[in-house]
Amino acid sequence: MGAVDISPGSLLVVFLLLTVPLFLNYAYSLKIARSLFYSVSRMCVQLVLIGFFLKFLFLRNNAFFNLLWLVIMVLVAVYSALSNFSMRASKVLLPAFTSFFLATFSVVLFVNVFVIKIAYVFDARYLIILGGMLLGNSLRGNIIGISHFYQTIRKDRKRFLYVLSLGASLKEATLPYLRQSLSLALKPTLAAMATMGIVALPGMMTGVILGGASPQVAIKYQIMIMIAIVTSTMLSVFLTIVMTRRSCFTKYGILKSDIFI
Amino acid sequence: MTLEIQEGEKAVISGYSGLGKSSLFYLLLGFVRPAEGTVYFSGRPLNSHFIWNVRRKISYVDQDISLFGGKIRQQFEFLFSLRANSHLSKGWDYIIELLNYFSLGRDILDKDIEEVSGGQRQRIALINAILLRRNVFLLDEPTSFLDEKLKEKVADFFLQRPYTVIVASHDQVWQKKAVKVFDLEKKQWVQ
Repeated sequence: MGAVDISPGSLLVVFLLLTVPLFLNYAYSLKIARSLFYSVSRMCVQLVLIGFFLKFLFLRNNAFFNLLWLVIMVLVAVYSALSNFSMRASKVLLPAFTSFFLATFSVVLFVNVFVIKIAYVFDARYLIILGGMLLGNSLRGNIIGISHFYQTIRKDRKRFLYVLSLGASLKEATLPYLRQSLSLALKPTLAAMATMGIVALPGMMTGVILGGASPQVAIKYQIMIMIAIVTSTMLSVFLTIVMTRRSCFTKYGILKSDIFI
Repeated sequence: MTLEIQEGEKAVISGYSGLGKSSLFYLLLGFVRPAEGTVYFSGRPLNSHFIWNVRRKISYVDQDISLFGGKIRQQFEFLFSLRANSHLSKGWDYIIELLNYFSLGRDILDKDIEEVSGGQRQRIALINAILLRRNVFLLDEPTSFLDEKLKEKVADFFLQRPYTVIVASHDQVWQKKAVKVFDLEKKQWVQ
């Protein structure tokens, strides 16, 4: 039993719901009609294209194309993360990309090999879908963690310099900020975990249930994905900070100012 | 401009605010790099390798009294937790002795840094610097929050010992007691 398909005509019906925000927009002069229209259209075009593309990937199910798509997803995630905390992407793109990719890929690989135990570990249905979920869900934590690290050191400049003057190595001087950033990065995921199932029925579970599996299977998948998200978030924030530290600080241990926009 | 300070000398850097007294210290600590010219320490030019050693030979007190959150006791423990300072003994007796000298009771150890006054913070920062047992002191406005009696005490502590001391301060007590005064505006020694 799969999900009931929605015919193109029926899908159009869902757009009727938009009359509610449009009405409120008109009634309260919110001036959001233009951005609402833009976002909805952009989402539709993106999803239609991705739909075709995923169909192609699923049909070919070729390890190279699947990995290539994962690389593209990571690139977009890194780029959007960097632009969100006003850092100059060109300065840290490579180390940030490497960290995000390593964190996502290693966790997905672990799940595919040891948990789901699929024969073909590069299977598009698992590699891309799980990779996408990890990236999407850890993005917020990543943005919070990495931006906290660099922005706090920037704001705390005098204290940071004072610690260097006490004889601290760069690793020692940045350690308190690394600690804070890792625990902050994890907060959104931990908060989501606490309300899971009661307040929110998460996307993965919804998908698995609509796909025809029983709620028991869906729950197992959800537990798996949440643990994978916590791990990949921690890992990617940690690796990104450790790997960008080299290019964001001078050899004198001073935070470079040109990494910020 | 050339400014040379020999080992064991006590020098006061004078000049109005914003002239660059703090920047001079920043140059020596490698926090800023000179646009031109060279900074030497012990006859060796500073570079990105040497600077990490230099910082371990200098005790610095900044004018904003940068300390970390937490209890005063933790401030001192933090110093010793750094690898560069791991050879130092914690010596709580010596800490108590210094607290007494600077007119701070030992009960301040369990106070939070946010609870204490500016003058107390300043003396804690000075004790931090002394505990590192280094021979070169860079003191940036180290007595700005203290009363006259304490200013004297602090100046005596540093000037009567065989340390190399460079002080940037508006307080007359330093200028009166130090042998040398460098006027940053005139770019020359005036005393």
